[in-house]
Amino acid sequence: MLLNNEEFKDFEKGMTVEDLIKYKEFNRKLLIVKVNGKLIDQSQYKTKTIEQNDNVQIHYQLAGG
Amino acid sequence: MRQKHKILFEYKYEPKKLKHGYTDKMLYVNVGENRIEEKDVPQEVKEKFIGGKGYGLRYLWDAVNPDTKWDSEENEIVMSAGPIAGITQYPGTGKTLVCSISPMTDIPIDSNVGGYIGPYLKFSGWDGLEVQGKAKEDVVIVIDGTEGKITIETAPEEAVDGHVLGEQLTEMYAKDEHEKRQISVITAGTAAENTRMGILNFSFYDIRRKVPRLKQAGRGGLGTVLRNKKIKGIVVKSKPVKGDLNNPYDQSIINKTGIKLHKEIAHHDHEQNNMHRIGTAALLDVMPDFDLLPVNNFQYGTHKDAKKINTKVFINKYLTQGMVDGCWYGCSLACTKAADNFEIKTGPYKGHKVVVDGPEYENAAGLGSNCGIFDPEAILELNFYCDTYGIDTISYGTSTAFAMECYERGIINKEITGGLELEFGNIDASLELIHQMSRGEGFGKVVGQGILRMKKLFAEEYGAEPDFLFDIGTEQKGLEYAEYVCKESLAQQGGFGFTNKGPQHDEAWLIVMDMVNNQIPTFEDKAEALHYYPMFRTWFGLLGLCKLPWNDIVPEGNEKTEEPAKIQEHVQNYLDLFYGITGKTITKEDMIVQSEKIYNFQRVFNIRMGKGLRKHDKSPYRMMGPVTKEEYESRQERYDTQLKEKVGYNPEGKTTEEKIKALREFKYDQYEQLADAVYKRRGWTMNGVPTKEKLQDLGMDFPEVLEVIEKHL
Repeated sequence: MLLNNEEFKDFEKGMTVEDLIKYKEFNRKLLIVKVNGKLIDQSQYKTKTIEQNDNVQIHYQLAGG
Repeated sequence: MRQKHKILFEYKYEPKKLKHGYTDKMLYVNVGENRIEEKDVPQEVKEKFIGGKGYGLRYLWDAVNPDTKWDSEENEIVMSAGPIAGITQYPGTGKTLVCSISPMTDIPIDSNVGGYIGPYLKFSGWDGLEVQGKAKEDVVIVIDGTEGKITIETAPEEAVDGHVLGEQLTEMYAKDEHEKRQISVITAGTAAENTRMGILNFSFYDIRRKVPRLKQAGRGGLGTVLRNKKIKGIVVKSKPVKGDLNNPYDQSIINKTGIKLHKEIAHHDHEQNNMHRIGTAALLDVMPDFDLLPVNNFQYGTHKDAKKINTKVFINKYLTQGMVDGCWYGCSLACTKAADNFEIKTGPYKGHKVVVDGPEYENAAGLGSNCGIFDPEAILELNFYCDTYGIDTISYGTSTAFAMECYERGIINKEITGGLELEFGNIDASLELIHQMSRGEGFGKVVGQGILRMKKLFAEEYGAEPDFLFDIGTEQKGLEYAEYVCKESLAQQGGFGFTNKGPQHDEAWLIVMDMVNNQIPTFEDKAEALHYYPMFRTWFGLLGLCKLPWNDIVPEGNEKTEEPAKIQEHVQNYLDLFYGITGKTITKEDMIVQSEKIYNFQRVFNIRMGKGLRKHDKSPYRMMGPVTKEEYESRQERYDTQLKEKVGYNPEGKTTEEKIKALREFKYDQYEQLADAVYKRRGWTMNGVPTKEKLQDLGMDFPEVLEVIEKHL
């Protein structure tokens, strides 16, 4: 499984998007989550499971300086 | 006070009305010769240089020669806003760009600033102002757009410090309280005279607080140039502001676009970045979590005391809420927060209760955490004195942090500092430094020369090791780095290192996109980002726009777009505003080309003045990786993993020194590869020189430009 273009070694079968966010401590409000290029709405984080070969992107939206 | 003024020269004129955002007139004032002229802006200049920074760089190029220094008679301060500046319907449309040869870098500096000067110059008949020459005694320049009169007047009794002089001049030239809103004043401060890092304050009158507020053209020493010309202040008095003074081509599209963004801010700002409540200091909560907050001269990216200067502290205790804190009319993002009735504890204004404009993120990080200071009141007091004394908070903070590290490592000592114990966290020492800068004495005067000159002094006079000073002295091209730890973001190292003016983050802020999101993993991805974002952000400085309404607020559904970081709906807003003002339809690709013209012109200008080649884009290692054993061992797991996985180097059994060396070689190699990719993407040679073909493509192959690059091809 790829997370942000790098192999995610701690993948576990049955992991949801929510599980992944908590595991990696993504702790900001403004996240954009895509699985295999498809945007995942916040309402689906707890139900959307991730598969072994998925390509997951979890991006902070932070404007910065 | 005004009665003591002697009028050295007076010029009467008919203020030209704006048409589609322009008057097509530049104002030239020479305070050495007491000469004032109107210059018509040639059509080719208008088409290719647009306004703002474009005009600033064009007119500065024409004024100077390759031997011009910041304190030469012929150096100019050129300021211009741009065609969109001065509208009142869309947030963030009051910015001015100021250009000069910098006392810090010896090359052109461009610095952007809010406040009312740029729009008021336009409404007074001027697309921009050039100031040249040196007066024989302290003067003020008064540009009165209500009467069509410009004067150069002696100003013997006025203060020099920004907040005092701003009030004096506003009071002096306003007939009544109501007219104060029509006045904007440029000031520097006493420390600007004695250091290289002087700022320009641009005022706007706050009708609720009944005081001029100050925004800053902070980087590069512009205030030092102003005071070197013996100019105390520049006053611009405009007719009352109305929403259509730019005489736009299509007002309705401007209105519609503005309403759309106001609604967006009203509905979403509090859920997103909270600019209205806290301003740019909102980043204080985020940076420590990602190890990006500069601590102790960029050695570390977080600290256990970082929470003492987080946003809750500033909001709950210091920053007034519910005020209209926009630095130009019509800005509903209103990020210009202030602490009211703040009692000053040290220096000449001890006991005074003042309005402190800030803190911006950079102030809190530079004056605070980078110097090991985690006291919000100390930050506010240093912020106040930087503004009124006329000192760049970033250069001050980063320079002081460097001096503190040198002190802690024994490179300098109490004898050299005149008794100041310059340890990280010593608030009293930092405050004393700034007061010394104002008085022009002591070690403060040394720190005020900036890191480049401190490195030379410490090596030559005190036997410090030049290589180590190069590593920890976070300046490049002579300008101090802005307040972000970018050791883990190669893209941001490039975002700082390949910048025209020096390591300021206003071209590209790519840290999270790179290091947290890993969205730009290859060199080519990074090079593409280091092309697009600097060019896109340069555009703001041509038109008179603030960056915050672009991406510090995002529309609903932005996450569904193909490249959410670009905020495409807001890009379209800017195209609509450009059309609304000028009547010209441009595409988003055209925006980039407009910027590329100026960007490449500035790069060649740098080469002309001696600092625009690959060797000048090198980065000090402190901004790239761990310099010292303590830095490495504080994040040992991270760096050992990098050695194993990225460098192919087994750290087992190696000393920390050996591991530092291996990592350093890898990181510098990565930076060189990035430079290759960036220069290729930008159409430059591998020495960082814009090619003849690139300049021809852009229509910027002026003979004087080709003459500069031909020596390097």
